[in-house]
Amino acid sequence: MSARTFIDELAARVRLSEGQPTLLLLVFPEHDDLTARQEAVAGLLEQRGLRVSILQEEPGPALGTDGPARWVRAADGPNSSASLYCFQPQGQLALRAAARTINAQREDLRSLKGPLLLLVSARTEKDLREHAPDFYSWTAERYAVPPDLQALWLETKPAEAALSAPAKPPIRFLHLSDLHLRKDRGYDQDRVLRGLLAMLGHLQQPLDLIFLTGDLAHSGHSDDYGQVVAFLKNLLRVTQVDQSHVFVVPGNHDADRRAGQWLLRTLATDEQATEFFTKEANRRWHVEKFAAYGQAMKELLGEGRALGLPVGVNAVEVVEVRGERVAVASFNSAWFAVGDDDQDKLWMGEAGVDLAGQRIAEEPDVAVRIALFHHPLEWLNEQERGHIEDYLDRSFDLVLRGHLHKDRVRAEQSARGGFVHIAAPAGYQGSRWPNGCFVGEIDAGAHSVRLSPYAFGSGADPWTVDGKVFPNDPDHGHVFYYPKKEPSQPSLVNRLAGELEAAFLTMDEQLRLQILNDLGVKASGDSQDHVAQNAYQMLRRQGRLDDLWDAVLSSPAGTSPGAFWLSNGVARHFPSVPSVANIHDLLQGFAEFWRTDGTRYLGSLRHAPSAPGILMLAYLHRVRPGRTLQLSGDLWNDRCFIHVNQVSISMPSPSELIGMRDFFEFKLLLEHVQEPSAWALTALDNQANGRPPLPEEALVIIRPPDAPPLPNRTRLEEVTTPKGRKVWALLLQT
Amino acid sequence: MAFDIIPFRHVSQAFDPIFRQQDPQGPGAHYLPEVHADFRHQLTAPLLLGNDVKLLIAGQPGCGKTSLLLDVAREFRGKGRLVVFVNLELATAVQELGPAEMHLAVLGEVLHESVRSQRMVPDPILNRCRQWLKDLTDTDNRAAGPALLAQRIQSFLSTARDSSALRQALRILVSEGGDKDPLALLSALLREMAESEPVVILDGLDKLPPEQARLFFLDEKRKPMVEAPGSAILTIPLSVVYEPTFNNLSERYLNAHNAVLPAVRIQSLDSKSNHPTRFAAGWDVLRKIVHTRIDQVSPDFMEPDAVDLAIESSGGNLRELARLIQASLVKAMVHESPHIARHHVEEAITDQRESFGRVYQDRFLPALLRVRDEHRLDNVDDIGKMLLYGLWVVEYRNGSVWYDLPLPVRRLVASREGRGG
Repeated sequence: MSARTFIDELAARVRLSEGQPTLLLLVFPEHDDLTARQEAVAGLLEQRGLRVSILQEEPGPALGTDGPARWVRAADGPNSSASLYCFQPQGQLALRAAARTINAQREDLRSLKGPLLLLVSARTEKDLREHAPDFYSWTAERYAVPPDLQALWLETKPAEAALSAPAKPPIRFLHLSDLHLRKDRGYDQDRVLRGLLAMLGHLQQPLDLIFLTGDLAHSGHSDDYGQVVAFLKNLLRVTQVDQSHVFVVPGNHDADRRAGQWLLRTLATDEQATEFFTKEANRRWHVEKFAAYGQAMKELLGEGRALGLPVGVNAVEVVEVRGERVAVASFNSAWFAVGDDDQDKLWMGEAGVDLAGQRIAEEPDVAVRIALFHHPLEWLNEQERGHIEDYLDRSFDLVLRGHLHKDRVRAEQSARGGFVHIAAPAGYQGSRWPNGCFVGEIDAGAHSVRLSPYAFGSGADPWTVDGKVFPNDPDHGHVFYYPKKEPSQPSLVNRLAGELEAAFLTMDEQLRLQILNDLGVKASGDSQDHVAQNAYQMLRRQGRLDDLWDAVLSSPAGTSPGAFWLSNGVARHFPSVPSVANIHDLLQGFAEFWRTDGTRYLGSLRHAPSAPGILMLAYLHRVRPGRTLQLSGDLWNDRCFIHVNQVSISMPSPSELIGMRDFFEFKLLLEHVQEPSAWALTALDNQANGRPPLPEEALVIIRPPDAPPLPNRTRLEEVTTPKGRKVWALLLQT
Repeated sequence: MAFDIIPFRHVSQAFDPIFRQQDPQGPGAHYLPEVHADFRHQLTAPLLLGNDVKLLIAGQPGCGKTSLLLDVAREFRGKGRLVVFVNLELATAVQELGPAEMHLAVLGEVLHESVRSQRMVPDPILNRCRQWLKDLTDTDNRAAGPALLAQRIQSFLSTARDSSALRQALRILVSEGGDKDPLALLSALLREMAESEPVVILDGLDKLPPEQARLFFLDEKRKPMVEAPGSAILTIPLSVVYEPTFNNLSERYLNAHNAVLPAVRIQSLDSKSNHPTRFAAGWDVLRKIVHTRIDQVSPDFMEPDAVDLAIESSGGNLRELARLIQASLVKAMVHESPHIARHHVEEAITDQRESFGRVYQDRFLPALLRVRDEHRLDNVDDIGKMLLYGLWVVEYRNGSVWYDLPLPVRRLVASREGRGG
């Protein structure tokens, strides 16, 4: 087989299995440089329009010796067509040991989110066949890679690729709106949507994201959502887009008008709007209008999705597409939608758009920012319309909407920034009327989006490009540019407002009163909890959340619930920590994290005494050993003694029970010491008295900024306690 | 007309060796119970007749052991029996498995299954489980019900997987004998559940390395699960079957003489002429397997003679058949053919022959020639086991055991033979 035939066949094979778990073995001649060949395979596949991610070795045990469980985690993510990994254990013994693990862990391969291409030498293939026969027989295909592959790559490789990184492929999306699905439309609805699905199934390049900007159903009743869910399931199947990459907001037809008939028609003042959009309790009746919509979408797209229902920071979701981070804010412009006279009566919530924008601005490395809502901005109440437009100008690159059943795209620029405003036509309004959608390609590097309009033609045909929308570019779509957004300084405290509120409200009542007294805040309310809620809102409006943060973290005792809330929030901003096999790896990982990011985060956490503990907890929250890490324990800072106990790993058991096991225990100390003090080690022994022994323990000592520097910034060693127990000790410099 | 990839994707997924349809309690929606009808009957008949039957099952990779066992489990659950399916590979480290871990894994799964099937576990036996766990882990189990106890046992095994010290502690405890031995506890529990006629299915024991397997099944006096009450089916490595002392196991395991699940038989060996002849029933089953997967797209998606060629080439090994059809599918897709034709399968067979060729060793040739010409694999030594595990040869049973080469290996052998080895 020639290299060209081989790579064409491999590309077809990958395309066939995109989004499905499958294992392909690429066998190279002995002594070939697999790492160089990996680049050739990836490059040649990318030339054929595929997105390939190369799995890199992680800290800790090599991917190869850790087997499929780790490969699956490393290949986690729906955004590439295939993952490549060079499996080259060093030496015969290592290979045989790895082969056993691989054979035993092969069940994990079922969790792959796309094809995994394992590059091996002929010798490794032979050993796998012999020592991991079940694993080997699970390979869907084994290819002998032709020797002229490298020559083909050098011949076809773009000249500039040798000098610079290859251009990233664009982020491709579908923007669909106003489907108005309902039972009684029968055949007409079906044939139009089948044509849409047929078109999407034939797209040359797969989609990465799908945006649906409202009016999915016609009445907002649960009856209609059977149609909606059935259609969206087909859409997901045909496009192979992961559900986490589908974003939906409600339109006026997704509100159940019966449920909303006795509710407030609109808001009168800006103050009312602030009250409405900053307190969840005030929206609880209006949320009911979207109950059927919310229920159906949660079942389809998963719990915890925004769907346009939460506001502020919680309206924002960040997903990755081939390593590029895309932030999407899902807003609801239909809170007050009732009928045909909605114009000027709608409110989307200036405070919410502001907070969402802040959250996105503080997210690291966001490549593109997208806002979704249903109505045109002109339909919003004039008291907030201008402000919202200003926030959108500052914070978003693309603004997607629907409602008017008429396509309209404008690149809008202002003194504050600007965005490309995309209004989609109706996805379905009956075959006698125009039905269409946009397929877009975002080039984040060029700050541009290319839009191709598609429309239903007739009867049984797939939708085709609608040349009337961009008459100057009838075949290839039109490119719009948006201005680059300047990154803003991160303010972790603002981003963690939700967690701070929860931490404050879960504190001991006396402690809360003490804090409010110290901060000079006087609030009233029916109950102590109500007082605390009002006080929190007061501090937020006064811009004094930083003060509250300091007070919560510096309170003399009982900070553990607060610290847990906060550490969970902080953890959201960390990348996932790869699997750890043992406590030594975990400590080493934490030391590395501390060295690279710890100081920055400490600064963001305002150097509160319990901040290192929160960072450690946050780090642990993000560790993904085996499956899930669960934490419990206490944080104390009155004696600068922090310990986290009962760190457990839960693993799905064969019978799908969740098994828990003690894993290891940390003690975290803030001390000036050069090495673990006798006091700390004795404290460990005292803690261990009368308790079942833990498999492993560790002592983490973080030296405050004013402590004299250590010769090495970090030190990890095994030490012996006075009772002769061996524990790991990690010393870190702030 | 544009090439439609969707049907190809459906068929590809259905035939992917990794793919299993959502079916947590069974072998997947595509499973056909008649695939191994004879063997299945031999396996299940004793279970229907007796409540204390110990059985073994071995077989080449991909021959369908686990699927068969999952389906048997489903069948017996349907009959109201307490079926305990233990996947040892998931529960513990099979490479260093000892009887204690095995019994403990079964114990945990019996408790779990009793919860799942809403069967009461009497308090006295629960108390013994609680005390046992307390002795080992010093945890307070006073309030723990069967579900939590099962969970804690499984947690302990997970921890022991990574800790040789814990495994050692367990072995010391077992050596104290009496109630400390998990087998005693398991036996007591299974006795208590006797009304439900328990059937324990232990999958994953076939992954024991050969030396470990020899020790576990042949050298140890106390044979796995034999002393536990109730019925049990244990997977065993094929390597054990070919040990000279394997026949001794027939005293303890009812079907030891007939424990190998063969490939689906597509040929029968005529004992007089020593030539294989086509076995129509096997072909029919395999055709049905193919069609349950492709008919979801179109019955014509694969030409009938392409199906037959794929079956012939697989030698009746189910996983090989699936893989070959997948490979043929890719060939068809590259040629933008709307269906799989015979020449696509031919191309896939050529690739497969090359795949065998890459790992071919000259020392295989005498054994391969003997299989091809005489259908025998005498003295299953290391090479023989390698050929069986690597699916160079396919094992069949009609009357007696005989072997044949799948088509790609047959072609490879022909080319090597021409070169004088």
